[in-house]
Amino acid sequence: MSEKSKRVEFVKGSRAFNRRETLKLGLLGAASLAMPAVVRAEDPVLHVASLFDLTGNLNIYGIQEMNVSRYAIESINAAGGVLGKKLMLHEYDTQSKIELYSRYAQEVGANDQISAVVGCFTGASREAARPVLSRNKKLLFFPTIDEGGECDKYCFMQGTDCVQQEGPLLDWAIKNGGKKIYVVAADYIYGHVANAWTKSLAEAKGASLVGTEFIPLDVSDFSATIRRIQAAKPDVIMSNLVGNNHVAFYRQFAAAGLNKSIRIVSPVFGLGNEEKVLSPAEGAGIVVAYSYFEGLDNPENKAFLEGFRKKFPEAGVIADAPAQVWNGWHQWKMAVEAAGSTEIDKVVEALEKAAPFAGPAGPVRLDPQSHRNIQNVHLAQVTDKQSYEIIEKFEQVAPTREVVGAGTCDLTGKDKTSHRMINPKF
Amino acid sequence: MDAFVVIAVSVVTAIATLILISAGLAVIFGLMRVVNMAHGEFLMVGALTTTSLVLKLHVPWWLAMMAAPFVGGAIGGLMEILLISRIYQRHLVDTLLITFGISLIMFQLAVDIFGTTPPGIETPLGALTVGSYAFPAYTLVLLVSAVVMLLGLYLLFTRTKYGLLARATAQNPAMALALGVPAKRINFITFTLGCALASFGGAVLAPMISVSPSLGQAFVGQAFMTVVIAGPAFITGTLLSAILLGGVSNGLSQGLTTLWGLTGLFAMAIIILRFRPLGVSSSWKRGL
Amino acid sequence: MTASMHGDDTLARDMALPVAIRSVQARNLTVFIAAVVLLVAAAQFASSTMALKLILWISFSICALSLDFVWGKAGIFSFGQNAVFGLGGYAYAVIALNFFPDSQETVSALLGAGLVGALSSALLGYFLFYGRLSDVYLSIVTLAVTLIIYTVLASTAGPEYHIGEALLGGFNGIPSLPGIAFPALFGIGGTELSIHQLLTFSILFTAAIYFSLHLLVRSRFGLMIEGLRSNELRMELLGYDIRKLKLIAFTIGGLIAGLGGGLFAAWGTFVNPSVFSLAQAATVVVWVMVGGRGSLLGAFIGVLIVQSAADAADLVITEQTPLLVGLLLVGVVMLMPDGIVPTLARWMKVGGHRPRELRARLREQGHAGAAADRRLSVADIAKHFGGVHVLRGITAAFGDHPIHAIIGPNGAGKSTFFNILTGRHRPDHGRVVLNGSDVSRVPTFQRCRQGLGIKMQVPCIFADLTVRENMQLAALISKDAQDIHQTLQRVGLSQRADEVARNLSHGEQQWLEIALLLVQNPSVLLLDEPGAGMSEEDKRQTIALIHSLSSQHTLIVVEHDMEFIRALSAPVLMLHQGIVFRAGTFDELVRDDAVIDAYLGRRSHAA
Repeated sequence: MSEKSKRVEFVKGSRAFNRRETLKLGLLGAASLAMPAVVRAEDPVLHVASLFDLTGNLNIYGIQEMNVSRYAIESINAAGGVLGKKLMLHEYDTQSKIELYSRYAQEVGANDQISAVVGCFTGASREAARPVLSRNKKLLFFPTIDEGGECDKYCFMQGTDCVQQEGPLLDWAIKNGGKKIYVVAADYIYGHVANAWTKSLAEAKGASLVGTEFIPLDVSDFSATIRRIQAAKPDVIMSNLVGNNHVAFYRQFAAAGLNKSIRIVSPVFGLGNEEKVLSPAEGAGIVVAYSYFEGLDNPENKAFLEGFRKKFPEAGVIADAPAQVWNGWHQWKMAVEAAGSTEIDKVVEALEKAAPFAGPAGPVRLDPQSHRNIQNVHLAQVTDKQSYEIIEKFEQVAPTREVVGAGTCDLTGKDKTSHRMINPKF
Repeated sequence: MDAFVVIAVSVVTAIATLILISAGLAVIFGLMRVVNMAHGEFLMVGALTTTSLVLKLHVPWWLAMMAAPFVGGAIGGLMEILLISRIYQRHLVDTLLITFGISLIMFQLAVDIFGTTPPGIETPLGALTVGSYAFPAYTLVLLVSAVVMLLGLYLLFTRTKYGLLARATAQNPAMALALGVPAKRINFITFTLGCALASFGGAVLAPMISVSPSLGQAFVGQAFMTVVIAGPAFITGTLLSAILLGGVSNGLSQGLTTLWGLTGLFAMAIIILRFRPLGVSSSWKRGL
Repeated sequence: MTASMHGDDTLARDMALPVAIRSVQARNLTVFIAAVVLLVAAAQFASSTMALKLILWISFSICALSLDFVWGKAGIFSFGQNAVFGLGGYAYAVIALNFFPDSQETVSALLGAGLVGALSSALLGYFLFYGRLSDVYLSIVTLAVTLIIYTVLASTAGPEYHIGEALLGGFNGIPSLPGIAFPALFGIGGTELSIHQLLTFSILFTAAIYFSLHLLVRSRFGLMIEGLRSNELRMELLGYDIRKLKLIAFTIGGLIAGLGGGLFAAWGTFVNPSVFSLAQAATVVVWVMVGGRGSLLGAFIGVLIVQSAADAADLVITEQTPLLVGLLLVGVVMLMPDGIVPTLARWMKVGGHRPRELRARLREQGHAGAAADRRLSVADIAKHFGGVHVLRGITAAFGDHPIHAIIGPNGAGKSTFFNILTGRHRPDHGRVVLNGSDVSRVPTFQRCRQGLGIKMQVPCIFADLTVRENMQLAALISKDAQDIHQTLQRVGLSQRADEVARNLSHGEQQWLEIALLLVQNPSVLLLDEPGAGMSEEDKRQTIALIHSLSSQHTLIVVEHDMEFIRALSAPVLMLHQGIVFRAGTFDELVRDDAVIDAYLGRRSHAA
């Protein structure tokens, strides 16, 4: 008997049935691999993803943002999903490690099914992910406030920008404090760009900067800064300090008794629960500007909070960035429905033409040239009970299209195929 | 003139801060040649103990700060008995890695218990004014604490039996053992002392800074640099090292910008290491 | 003495070995190539997710490999290897951003990363090794360096911080890097590799690095590195410039780490300062520690285990990753301190020391003949430590007799004098002259090259290497290398040539040490208490050996054992209280009351 016939004999035995099954499955598998388009069209689920830091140093932001992401997806599914299909959220814990943003962005990028991402917290993490996602034609919605410069057709910035925050803040500062402003900012790109805006906005409003300081992120000894502030005798401090170490500024400022005479306004205070970290006396009086505060009184916010608290009864206060996650998912949903598909260029077009979305902080409408939202900005003051009291409302504040020192970004005009970051010059 | 006084206070405070955050690490490294990578976490333990006692149990701040070293010492002592004591005779890297592993564990446990942004305590004692400047009166507490700490260590190591035995064991472990020095007990005390000192340092600093589980990681770099620059004389060397690094750094921060201060600190460190790679006190005759 | 005087069995074995070795090497090579081919094939079926993970782990493995080499093979514990890795990443970023738009390739960036890694390591290494830093201080200085680089790079936020087109970006780092792209040649290349192509490239790239390292480790240089790790002092005493050796090893490590960093940057298309952090520094050490620094393979295993644990930790208990990684670390240190690979190898009883079979017939044939000039003299040597004047003016000449003995009671200054002769101390005053040249300020290793042989009191040999490898190390550096086999015969160790030195008896180790000196054909041999710790029989053999050597070398023996000294029949120099107290024959000194008084501590007679 030859080798071949021996094998045939063997197959005819008890294992023949299994063999045939395996062969069938194998053929099916090969067929499904060979016809991905066919398979996908029958996929009853739309895949989306979120990249947030659930562990590590930055998890205080990430956990809440992921909570809202889950809540948003669940809420959208409960209302019928998108284009009749349910959404499936792929969660990635980036562990406060930058290289994981790189890695998971690449994974998402390589995943044919995922079409949109709401994620990232710091500007660094966004820049680790954005180029990769963009190159792989995935939409990225970035919920945190930031300094601008992004000029990427597939990237949408949910958070308020410097102009949207600092404009109202400076108005309030000049009215309630005075025209002499001292700036303390974190020494990295955000701090420098924000300061450039502070300067131009302040000058436009007739105020002057009597001092500017950039503090490296690891520093927690502010004695030199406080001495210089006392020498300069400003009316208002504009603080763009960021991170755990920089909270010490407010503490040392109060310890020197300066909080009684000099007002503080800040576009970034509160992102990290600073009002809870500081004692009531230390934090009281600081004025911040965000789109969203939990205390906003409108029906959308009521419904939003009710649903969220039911799902996450133990979760803490919702700050602005997590609320922007909600806006992001809903704006995407509206655009997909308007476009009739998840195909990225169609969705982008729909987003740019979209009607406003009624978010918990008010209507949110995309400004197509900048890919930023025209939204309400509220000023709030830290109370002596470590909470926020809303003191002023600015309706539908427009974002800027300008990148400080480097021209503008026009994503429906000259930059409509751009996928880059314009480097600000300060 | 007023500015000068305030600047001087600031510089001296910076020096005192470096001493407070480095003393524990210096003792353990100086006497046992062990690099305690969990040193930062002991700073954190001290700070969190203080804030917890003050905020939850309404203990007066100075009392809470005195309790902190006991908590840190207890944890350090436990660590020593269970783990460190078994690996002294091994290569340096083993203690380094085990303390690093422990630092990860302590960090995560702190996050689990306290969250990443627990509430802090405000600076007590109000402000002192000098002309048109004001500075926190509490800085004097920092200063006094650092001085008391150094003096206390000096007396401990020159006037007590433990101090003598510890120095002997450090200089010649084999001989000390042969003479019947209870090395195990001495090492236990030294390690526990180092951890207690670190906790005390963190506790005293707590009202001036932001207290969170990541406090350790924020300060361990500076503590490390101070100890490296200090060299073998772990009391006087640490003092000089703190004066050089803290003085230059704070001086530059005051005179120019904070960034210059940070740069200056590292430039100083590099220069010193270039000429005295084993630390400023490496060519000194005194052992402490 | 020629080859024909080799024992028959040795000759036969020497001839058979090359054939045997070649077949072992050929087999290992085949296995290696097969493994690589298999990996590349398997890689094609990996999902994109898996492929991305693997490429990251491969770049980490290259970093771990560099530390594994530098620490596990050369004995240099650098706590800042991640800094070189990071510099490689930044170099890739800067070069790629500047060149890629025009050249459409990033191979230059990758190679540049390696080059920057090598250069930065060379610079740091020069500072470390020529500053004589070692052990704990080396590790903390390297850690300090990585922290400094972290802080510096994190402060480069402004637009003025750029290198060509590449903005350093401060804390945010440098985004949007091009991936690996080969130059457009012969119709291929010119575009960035896809994920699977990158994985294939990474596997081949790493295999090439691993293989090169493996060859290096098995080469003569590898033997020197192993000697360095095994016994640094003995390397110095054999005449090796250990600073230079360490520097070369460290630079090679830097090259590898730099290449790894380049791959890492290409994978992530992004670099930022967090790679220089303390946590990352420790992580690299953890990889090598867990995998085991005895073998190069340990680097890969370590990364695999630690990174899998970090990924899986989230599945075990969510959001507790640092806790679980910390526990893993503690567990490994307590239970498997050598790392997983060596511990497993021990349990499975595989591995163990494989002596190198160096291809060249390593000066097995030396030329014989005594050194012509064999004189060592000192003039008016004085040395003090602080306020203690240990040596107060010693003048002596050694060489007119073949053997000299130095004796003296405790505190006489014998050890210090010995150290002055060896070069461990510099005299505060006076000169040391070896064969006519002044070596007072010459470092020890150069004195050894000039013909000084130094035998320490406690056997100073390479315990983990075979006797033959010990001898090879001695012969490799020597300008006047003797025949290894014959030298071993002279000390009676020729039958033990393939024994690991640790397994020799104490006496045999002493003789091995003497053989190490002899194979370098020194003119003057310094022996510090050669009879120490020996049995009577061994002492007799040592004395006989000394006598047999005296025809070719000058020997200076420092001893306490009076019977030993008597048997040497040599002129005796007695030191006491830092001066030459008496000089003469043994019998003369033994009858001198003043000598006895000095030994007994009685009040000395007038000198």
